[in-house]
Amino acid sequence: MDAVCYGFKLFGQIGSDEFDTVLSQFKSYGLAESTKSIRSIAFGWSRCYIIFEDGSCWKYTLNKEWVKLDNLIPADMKKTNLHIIDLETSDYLHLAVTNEGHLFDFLLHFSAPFPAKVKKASCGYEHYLCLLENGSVFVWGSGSRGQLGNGSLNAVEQPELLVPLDGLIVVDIDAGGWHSAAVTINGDLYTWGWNNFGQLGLHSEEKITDESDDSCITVSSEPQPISYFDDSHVFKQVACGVNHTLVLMGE
Amino acid sequence: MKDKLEAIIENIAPSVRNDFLSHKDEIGDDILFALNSSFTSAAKGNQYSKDALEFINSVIDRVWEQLNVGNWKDVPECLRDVFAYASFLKAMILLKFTLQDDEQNLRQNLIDTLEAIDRGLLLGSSNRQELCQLASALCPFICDASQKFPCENFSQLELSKRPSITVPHLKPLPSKECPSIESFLVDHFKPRRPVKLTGCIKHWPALTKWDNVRYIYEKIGPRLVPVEIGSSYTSSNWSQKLMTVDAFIKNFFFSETEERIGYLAQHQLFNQIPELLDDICEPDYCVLSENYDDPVGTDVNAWFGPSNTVSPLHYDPKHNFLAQVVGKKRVFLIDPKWSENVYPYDDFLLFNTAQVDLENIDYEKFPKFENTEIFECILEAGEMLYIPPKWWHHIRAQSVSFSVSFWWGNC
Repeated sequence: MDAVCYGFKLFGQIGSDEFDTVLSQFKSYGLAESTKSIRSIAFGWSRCYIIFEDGSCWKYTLNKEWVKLDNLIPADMKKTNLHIIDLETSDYLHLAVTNEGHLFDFLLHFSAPFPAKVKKASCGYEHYLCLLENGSVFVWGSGSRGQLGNGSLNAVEQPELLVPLDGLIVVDIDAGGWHSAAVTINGDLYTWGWNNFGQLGLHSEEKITDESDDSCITVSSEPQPISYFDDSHVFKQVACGVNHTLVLMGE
Repeated sequence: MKDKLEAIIENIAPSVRNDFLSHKDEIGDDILFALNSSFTSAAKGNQYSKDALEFINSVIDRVWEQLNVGNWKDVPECLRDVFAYASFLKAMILLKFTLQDDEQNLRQNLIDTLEAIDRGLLLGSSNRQELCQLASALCPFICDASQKFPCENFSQLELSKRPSITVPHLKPLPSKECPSIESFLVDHFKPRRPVKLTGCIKHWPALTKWDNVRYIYEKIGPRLVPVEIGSSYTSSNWSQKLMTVDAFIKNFFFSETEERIGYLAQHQLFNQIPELLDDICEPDYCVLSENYDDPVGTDVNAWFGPSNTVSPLHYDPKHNFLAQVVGKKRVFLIDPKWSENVYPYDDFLLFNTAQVDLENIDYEKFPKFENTEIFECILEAGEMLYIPPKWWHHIRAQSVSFSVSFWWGNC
């Protein structure tokens, strides 16, 4: 299996023989282990990770080399058949999820116990989000722009249940740079955190015009339900960039 | 018009230096490469390069994100250097674009250029002099000489119609006319006793100039500044955004439909626009210090807004002079010995802010506040208030107001 890439690449994140800004066509990465199946890919500003089905992890570096990352799993967790199935990175923070539902920071070797298996994890520039198989969401890290969603701007050191969404069954989450989003089993979307570019799907006021609008929001420290123009559509999945959010809709 | 711009570019181009190689390890090869790629088109000739603009925008986006990670005070100096330098390159490249673009887009192109410069000045640290110089050279091209204003002076605008608030146990704050430095030291600085000083800033050119709407418009109208929007920073609808001084005045001083309050508050406007320093003068008392061995400079901040801006009850760690240039403010002061009575927030951001709202005191929630002694002072244009370190203060503007604060004394 091969991975292909395109897009912005000044910072070496998708590789090239020379520095350049944009690769406008698909290009093959040229993987070292191209006979294996790829399970997951993670991107940051200046790096790319690939996880293969057998759990081996490779990092693409600025030197245009694939480097195999061994021993990502902390020593105290090591046991047979335990392997990494997903990596998440934001350049500043890094998380890995194992096939048994553990979660840990593979650079800081931080891990925390959760009341259920981890289904998905995501990191912002300064905060972490984690979705458990029972549909609950845990948050920790910096809350400076409301990105934890717990109603406060203070930092949280240990993972804590995201109380405002407690009782809802969440099926997808994602963290942007300083914002977060969650989709529930009923197809509702919630966003919270920094809205400086309107990335919460709420009106932002980055540029002031002559018209005033009272509903503008710069930071929301609690999850906001986002409505779409047509109620017959539901939200299925969500993905957050630093300054934008993408959703997948369903009927 | 374009030949004047060409002259500005020629004049400033020699100061575009490419000296980031010394920071190579901190910056990274990629950013360095992008800076180098845009350097030539920024510094040499009059040719506009789209690629160079793309490179420099990439650097600005990337470094902007890096500047926003973590606490502002922990941001590495070299990142702020790169940001300012990149903003300077971007401004030069945009000027070259302006030269080749249609004459009719000239004003908008210069507005975009000035925005890049001001963003560099607001967040960056290097090349400040060059950025300031370029900004003040561009301002006259952007200002519209035929611009009409609803009034000539800010002080002609109506005073606040709000009923004035009632607070119990008020004592008037003493006032002194231009005391000697020695007597200020003994009577106020050392014992940390607040006082209103009259006659100390009457020689400031700002006292007449800053009241004039056209003067402010022509001097700083096109410049980008941070504006706080909402009744006060403790309220839930509070936000902060960048806008031009011109838009700020139009929207929040002259608009009849705008109900929100906008406040250009606690901004180091004089670092961004140093020519304004010609209009004011640091008070002589600022030579006093609690530690002469380790001198630190005075922080000068601008506070500019319409009637009814509020700074809720809070304290600052330094000695503070609040100099009133335009309009008047009502100030309440509380001795730090009563700190317990004002119920400071238990929060890392708001620890120096009181939960007690002086304009709506909830005695049931905050019973200890009942017998707290409060000083009151109406600060008029030309007067200056001394607020000692840790003294709680609440300030409401009773008219359009422009004040300058000096934080000093090294304590």
